[in-house]
Amino acid sequence: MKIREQEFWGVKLRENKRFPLLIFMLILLASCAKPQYVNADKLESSIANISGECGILFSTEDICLRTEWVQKPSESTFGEMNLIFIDPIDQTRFLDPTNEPFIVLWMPSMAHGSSPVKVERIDVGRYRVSEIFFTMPGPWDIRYQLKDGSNVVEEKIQKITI
Amino acid sequence: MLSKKKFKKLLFSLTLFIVTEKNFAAPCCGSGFTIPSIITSDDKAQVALSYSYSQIYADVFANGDWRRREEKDVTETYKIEGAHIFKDRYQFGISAPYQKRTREGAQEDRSSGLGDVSLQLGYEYLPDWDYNPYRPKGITYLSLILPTGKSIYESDDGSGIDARGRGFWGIGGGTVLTKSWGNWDANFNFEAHYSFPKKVSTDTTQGTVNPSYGGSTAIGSGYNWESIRLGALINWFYEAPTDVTGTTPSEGTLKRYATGTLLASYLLKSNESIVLSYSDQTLFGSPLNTSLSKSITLFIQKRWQR
Repeated sequence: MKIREQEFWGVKLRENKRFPLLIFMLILLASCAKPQYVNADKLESSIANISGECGILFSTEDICLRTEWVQKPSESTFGEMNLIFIDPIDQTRFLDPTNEPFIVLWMPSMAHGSSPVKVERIDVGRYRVSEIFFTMPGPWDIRYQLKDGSNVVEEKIQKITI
Repeated sequence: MLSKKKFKKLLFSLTLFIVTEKNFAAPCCGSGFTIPSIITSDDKAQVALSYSYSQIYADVFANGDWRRREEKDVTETYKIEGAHIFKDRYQFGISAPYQKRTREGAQEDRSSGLGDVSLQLGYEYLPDWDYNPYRPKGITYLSLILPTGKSIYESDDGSGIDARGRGFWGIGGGTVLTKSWGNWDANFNFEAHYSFPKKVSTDTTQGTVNPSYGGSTAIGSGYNWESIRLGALINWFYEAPTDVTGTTPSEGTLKRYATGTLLASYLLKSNESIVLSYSDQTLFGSPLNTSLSKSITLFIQKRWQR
């Protein structure tokens, strides 16, 4: 089979047997990945307590929430935290919310959640959240919800990166 | 007229290139859209069995940051694929994967079951009856993806270890172009697809997951010596953001990655071939919002002549 001479971006190819390889090599060289690995310390610092005088305010019940990490989660370990509900005016006064506190771990970029956490009331206004585990590394939402049955009455979101 | 030796090489390159077109999708959320099993040779039917071992190596966040995966997360896939010609230039095909997933670490677990089954209908719109030196052979196809694999939205415990499919009904279409010049061959594939919304109800979320469009483009080349072919391929994938409405409303982020594959093929008989391939998703492209894996695949194919 005779193959005619042809030109490719100014390069004359007497035989085009190497033509597919040439194109493939050009694409290969032009598309190499450039990984930028993130520092693990930077990721851990994103997992912070919610503090301040009121923490975050649930306006539907006029109640404040603070959080304290007992054990910060990582890619390979479970986390545990305390939820503390307080009066927005007298912050030394602990209150139970009228609706049920609930937490959803959600990965918005991928549109899926993680395994359910366990929420236990340990005292007035104090709850222990355990079995916090993120199924894959990446940016996650911790969604603090107040629920009436299956209805989410109010939700506040904390963004972290695992 | 082509000599018998040249014809054998041509047949070999055409029948083996399609092995390179497999989708080594990011395994976080089940397999991605599958490139169909298409007959690109002059055969009337083909059946293929494959085994793939894939391990997640890194995760890439939506902002482009990479993180090396610390815990071992392995997916083994056994797949059977078949295609058959009808009415001379039409063909239909089916692909059915069975997956075993193993994860180590704090949530150590394993799971296995059927993945997403896909059906294809193809039409050879550019035949290569005269072995034209320039014009490629072209086949267009339509695909239907059945959500037979459990998705991460239906995961029993929310951990996603049992997610073996995308979880959506999907339709797609694309084209495959192939060409051989002497010992060299080249191939190109483009496909686009649409996945339909799905209602979900789990312990943590009730609502509707809205995926959207996606697509992939692949370009590859190979060199043939008698019964051996060495080939390489790059396949770029794109998925539009997936949004969720309901109790956990959220806007997703686009997903993209590229898979580089090296292949070594051997023609056992004129109608049987075996292929060993290595695929790496960490080498090419500008990945976003995905898990990147490295895979080894063993593929055996048998064909029946017209």
